[in-house]
Amino acid sequence: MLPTSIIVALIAGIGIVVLLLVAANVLSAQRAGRVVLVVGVVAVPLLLSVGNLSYGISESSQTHFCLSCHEMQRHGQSLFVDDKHALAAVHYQNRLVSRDTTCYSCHKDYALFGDAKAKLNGLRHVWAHYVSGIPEKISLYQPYPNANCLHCHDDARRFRENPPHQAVSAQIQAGTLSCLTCHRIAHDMKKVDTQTFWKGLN
Amino acid sequence: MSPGNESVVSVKTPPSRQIQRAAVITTAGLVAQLISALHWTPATFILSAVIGLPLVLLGSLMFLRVVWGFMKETGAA
Repeated sequence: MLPTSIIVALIAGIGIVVLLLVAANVLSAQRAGRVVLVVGVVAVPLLLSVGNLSYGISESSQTHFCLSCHEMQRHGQSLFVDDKHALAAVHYQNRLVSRDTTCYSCHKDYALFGDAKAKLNGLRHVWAHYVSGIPEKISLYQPYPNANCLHCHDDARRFRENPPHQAVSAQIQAGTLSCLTCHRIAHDMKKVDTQTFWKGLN
Repeated sequence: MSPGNESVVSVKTPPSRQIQRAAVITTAGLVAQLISALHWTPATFILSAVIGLPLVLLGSLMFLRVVWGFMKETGAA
């Protein structure tokens, strides 16, 4: 359920439009009434809808939203595995990304239309969930781009001063060598299956 | 007052039936959004975005069309 304030606002908006619907005959006969109609039938519903949509879009970036589909629940559990090499677990447990938007932080492109692309991919997920069916092996639509890692790590001291990174820096920047070539485990599903979780996080 | 002497003032009003139709469509859009807000899931969010919002837009456009037509008719536009 969305916050009470949004629900109350929507109910109030519906009430206003219904009232104006009943009083349309009277109001449309007067100039002031017509202004009230424009505000009540156009401005208020549009503002409510835009507010509701923008809240919904921001809410759809939340970790709990992604994990609300059962197909993603194992991926959600992989955030808690006891594996210091599993990228998702390391980022989540060490708070390298916001815990509220963990999935979104790593799985959206940081380009101009990165947000829009992520949301469109979300639509594809819902389509797969309800219509086309979930593939046996869940995988990315495209190879994971280095740019997503470099968005945060590029100017980080630990990254820059790390000798293995320095040796292949040009290739990493050019995208000819994937970060995942060395950092191979993104989500440690084996440890999810064996229920090997970090106990420090309750 | 004898018959035939009544002064008849004709006041033009926008067609309220069309306004009501626009308001009904707008209400339907808001109700769709309310239902999705009460039961918030990825699917209801999409329903809200692809049904609720377009209905509100449609209702608003219908209303504005009525108003525009009325203004043109009365020479206000």
